[in-house]
Parts: sequence; structure tokens; C-alpha cells
Amino acid sequence: MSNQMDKIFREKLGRYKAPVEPDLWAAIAADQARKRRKSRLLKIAMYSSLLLLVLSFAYIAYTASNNQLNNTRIDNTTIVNNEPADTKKTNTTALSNTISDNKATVSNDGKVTSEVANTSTSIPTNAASANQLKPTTTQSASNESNARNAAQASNNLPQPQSTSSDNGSNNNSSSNNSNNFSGVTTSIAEHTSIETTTKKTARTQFSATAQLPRLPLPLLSPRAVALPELEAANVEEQGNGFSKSNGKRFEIDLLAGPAYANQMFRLEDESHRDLLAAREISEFPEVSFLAGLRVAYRLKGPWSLRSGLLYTQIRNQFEYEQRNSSSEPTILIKSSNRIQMLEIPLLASYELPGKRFRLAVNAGPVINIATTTNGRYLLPDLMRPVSLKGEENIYRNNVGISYQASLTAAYDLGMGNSLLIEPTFKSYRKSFTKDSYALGERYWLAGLQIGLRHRIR
Amino acid sequence: MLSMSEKELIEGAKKRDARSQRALFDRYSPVLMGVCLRYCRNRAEAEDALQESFIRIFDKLHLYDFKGSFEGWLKRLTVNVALKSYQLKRFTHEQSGLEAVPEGSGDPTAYARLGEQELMGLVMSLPEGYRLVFNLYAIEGYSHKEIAQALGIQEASSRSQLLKARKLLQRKIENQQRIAI
Repeated sequence: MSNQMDKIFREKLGRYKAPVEPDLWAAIAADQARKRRKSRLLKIAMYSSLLLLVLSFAYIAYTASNNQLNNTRIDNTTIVNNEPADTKKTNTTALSNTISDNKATVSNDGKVTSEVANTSTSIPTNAASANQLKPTTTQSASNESNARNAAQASNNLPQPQSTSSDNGSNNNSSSNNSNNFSGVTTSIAEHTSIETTTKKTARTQFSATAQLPRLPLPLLSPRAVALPELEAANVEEQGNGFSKSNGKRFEIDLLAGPAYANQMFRLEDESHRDLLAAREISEFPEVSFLAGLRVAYRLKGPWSLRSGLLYTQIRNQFEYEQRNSSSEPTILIKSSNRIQMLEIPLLASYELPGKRFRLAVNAGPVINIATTTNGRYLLPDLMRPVSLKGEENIYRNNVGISYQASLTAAYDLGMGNSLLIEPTFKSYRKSFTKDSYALGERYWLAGLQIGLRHRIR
Repeated sequence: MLSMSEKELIEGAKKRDARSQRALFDRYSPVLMGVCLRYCRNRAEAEDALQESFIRIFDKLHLYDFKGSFEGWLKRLTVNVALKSYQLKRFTHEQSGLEAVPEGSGDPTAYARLGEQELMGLVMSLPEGYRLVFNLYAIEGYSHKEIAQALGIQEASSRSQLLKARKLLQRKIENQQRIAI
């Protein structure tokens, strides 16, 4: 009997349906809306952290790369300064030996010219290498009027010959061999000295060209790569600090990008909880926008001031399912709520040192000039959507001062232009709704702007 | 077997899509409200339990792997929420004095003649301890071991409370029949 009794209860009550109050969904939906917001916030926090991490990593990597570049340059300079000393010593020794041989040969044969010409065969190591480096050795044997032999000896040097031949004072060479020997000695000694100096310059240039291909070329501007080292250094030095840029104190930034606007309601009076639930379940955030034109005035050191005009558009989707009676179909009402603002940012900016890639931290107040709204919201008493236009507009025309903080990553494109990526955070302290409205509504925005910077020359 | 639309609704609700969640609520809330009413003392408590149940359902929906009846999964979760609510309220076992009630000899077909509302009324009139055990055993199909675990009581207590619940229901039916005659 018991089993039969259980069976009857199970069959009749197992699928028993009881009517549900319509407002029960509102509380559940409000809870879900809060969770959705929380989930979005977590995602934003995660993506922001990731972006900051990537930017920080890029900055550190770039700084390390620059340090390596500087070290390489220092090494080159050291090598250039050290090498000639040894070379000079070797060359001088070699030349002295050759000259001694020349003396002996001249004493025996009297064929100074031909013998000294042999001397020139002992030089070519230096001459040839000098010739390979740069043709500036033209000057090396010049102005040695008494050294006819030296002039002839320099026949193997392609350029010096023409220059040294200008002297045209070689007539007395055969009659004064001893003078010529001393003249040759002096001349070659001077030649050695001059040549070494020339070689030093030539090697400097050679070292610069030889080392450049090993540098991280993509990081150098085309101008810096094209120019010799010293000039390239000047170019980079100019860009290194604004204080060194001879009065280029103004920059123009043009920025735009998407943002997430987080809507926060504050209930002043518990009796309006229905209103809170109605708005929480009917409004969902959409992608908002930020765009702005800023002018920066650079102060001394890393500081600068930035101001301009900022346009902010906060977007929320309004959704409401309207059902007049259970027999009628549900009507889905959808609209896009927009809060548009014009603002003036007053930002102090601190730029971290860098070459082509620079980071700057900006922070400061943003003054609201005008605020307009359009869209709809749910009125819980009537359970119908109302327009934000006209007398039923619950929003202020000016939301006062907000606060902005951002991180600007600038990559120098050359010609005074930079590519900007700027994660931005903006917080509005004042409620967007009028004091007479029962619900406070505040926002904060997190956005990512991309833009261009031009330095005014 | 799930219909495609229901599967889509579940998938949508898993992604916290508001429209899918609303559709699931519209579809299953009356059945689950019936469950809540059987476990709660009054309608207000049942509504609270239903609200809490749906919040739990949407939070735990990712655990549903489309094996078995979705409605059965929802009911089981709702019953657990209702039982948790019962435990939080620290219900003390009510003594109804049924020990003195003699074994009924009523006609079992008498229950069959009653409608859903009347049977529901009978169940709702049971003392809470009996009602919980009767609901879990007779309607949901739980074993005494499961009931004992769910309510934190001994299996023997579950058995005795079920017996007493049946006796009480039988007596109430007989009383109703006597009044009707």
C-alpha cells in the first residue's frame, strides 16, 4: 500500500508546476549582471597587466640593446686609438731599416733613385693598406721638397705622386747625396708620421663601416645608418633629450581608441532597490571610445605638460523584454545609450630616458566642458523604458572634474614623428545623474589609444 | 535526448548570455517552484529558494555535460539548495504526536482521486521533518542513505520519519473523506 501511495504522489507531484512571480527574475538577472561585470573587469585587468608587461619588456629590451650599441662604439674607439700606436712603431722600424739599406746602396752605386725606388717596394704594405682604406693618403708625401727619392719612392702610391710632384724641386738631388740621405731620412720619418695620422683617420672610418653591419640595424633610423658614425651620433644625441633639441618644445599628439566604461550604481535609499535592479538588468556595457588632440610643452628635464581637447563617448546597450500579457509575444526593445563628453585634460608627463623607444607616465585632472546623452532607461514603477531626452533626462550637462592616468609608449619614426600606444585610465568622481535622481551613477574608463606625435620644429 | 534549441539555450547560458538565461528561467521555473514549495514552509521561503537555486544553476551550469536529463539535474540542484536552506534555519524536529496514531486502513485509491493541488496541500501540511523525508524518498526517489547524508540524520531516523509521514497523510485523507461524506 505504501508503494502505491508513493507512486501516486510521485506521478502527480513529480511534474507539479507552480506559478512564479514575474519580478523574481529581476533579482536573478541583477545577480548575473553583477557577475558579468566582475568577469569583464577581471578580463580587463588581465589584458592591461599583459599589455604593461609587454611594454615593460620591450622597454627593458630596447634599453639593453642601446647599452650594447654604446659599448660597441666605445670598443671601436678604443681599438682605433690603440692600433695606430703599434702600427706606427712597426712602420717606423721598417722604414728605418729600409733607409739604412738605401744609404748603403747609394754609397756603392750612386743610383739613388733606382735604389730608393726599391725602398718604395718595402713600403707598399703600408701604402697599399692606406690606399685601400682611403685615398686621403694624397697628403702623406706632400711638401717634401728635398726628398726627390722619396717622391719617386712614392710612385707606387697612386695619389701621392701627383701631389708630391708639385714641388718641382728635385733638381739638386744627384749632387748632394748625403744631404739627400738626410733629407730622405727626415722626409720618410715625416712621411711615416703623416701617414700614420692619415691611417688613423682612415682606420676610424674603416672601423665604423666595418662594425655597423653587426649592429642591430632595424633599430637605427635610416638617417643614422646612412651617415658616418660621428654624424649618426649627433643625430641620436639630438633626439636623446628635448633640452638638447634647440627649442623644439612643442609636440602635437593625435590619439584615438576603444575603451571599456564601467558603470557603477550607488543606491542612496533602500526603497529604490527596484530601480537599481531594473537598471542593472537592462543596461550592458558596449565598446566606448576615446579620441583627442593634445599639445605638449616640454619643460626642462624629463617633464612636460600636456593639454588639448578630449572626446569621450560612453556606450551602454539598453535591452528590455516587454510582455503586456502572457498571451502576447515578448517584444525585445534594444537601443544604444550614449554619453558624449568634451573635456580638457591637464596632464603632467614624466618621460623615462630612451632613444627611439620611450615611455612616459602622464597623470592629471580632466575638466569636463559639456556632456550630452541620448538613449533610454527602465522606469521600474511603470516597467517601461523612457527616453533620456527632454524632461525625463536624468543626466547632468556637466560632470565636473575627472582624473586621468596613462602610460605613453612612443616609437620614433623619424622626421619628428612618433607612433604612440597609450593605455589610459580615467575615473569620474562625480555622479553622472542629477541630485534629484534616486540612483547615483559613476564611471571609470580603461582604454587603449593609438596615435601619432609630431614634434614642432 | 535534448532538442537543439534547448542545447543552444544551455550553451548560451553557460556563456552567461542574458537572453539564454532568461529563456531557461521561463521554461523551468514553474517546475522548480513546485519542487521548492514542497520543501519550504511557505511561498515566500519557496521563492527565496528558487532564486538561490537559479543563481546556483547559472554558476554551476558549466558542470553539466549533457549526459542525462537536464530537468533532472536542475531538480536535484534545487532540492540541494532547499535542503541547505532548511539546514541553515536549524530546523528542530517537530514532534507531532503521531506515535499514538493507529495504522490507517484507508483505501489507497482515495489518493488517486485527489488532484495535484489537494495532494500538494496534504504534503505542505506535514511537519517539516516528515515532509522533507517524504519528498526526498517518495517523490525524488532518494534512498534512506542519501537522505540521511543530505539531512545529517541517521538512516533509521529517515525510515521512521517516512513511516510517520505516511501515517499522517493517510489519516488526513481519511478525515477528508469523512468530512466529504
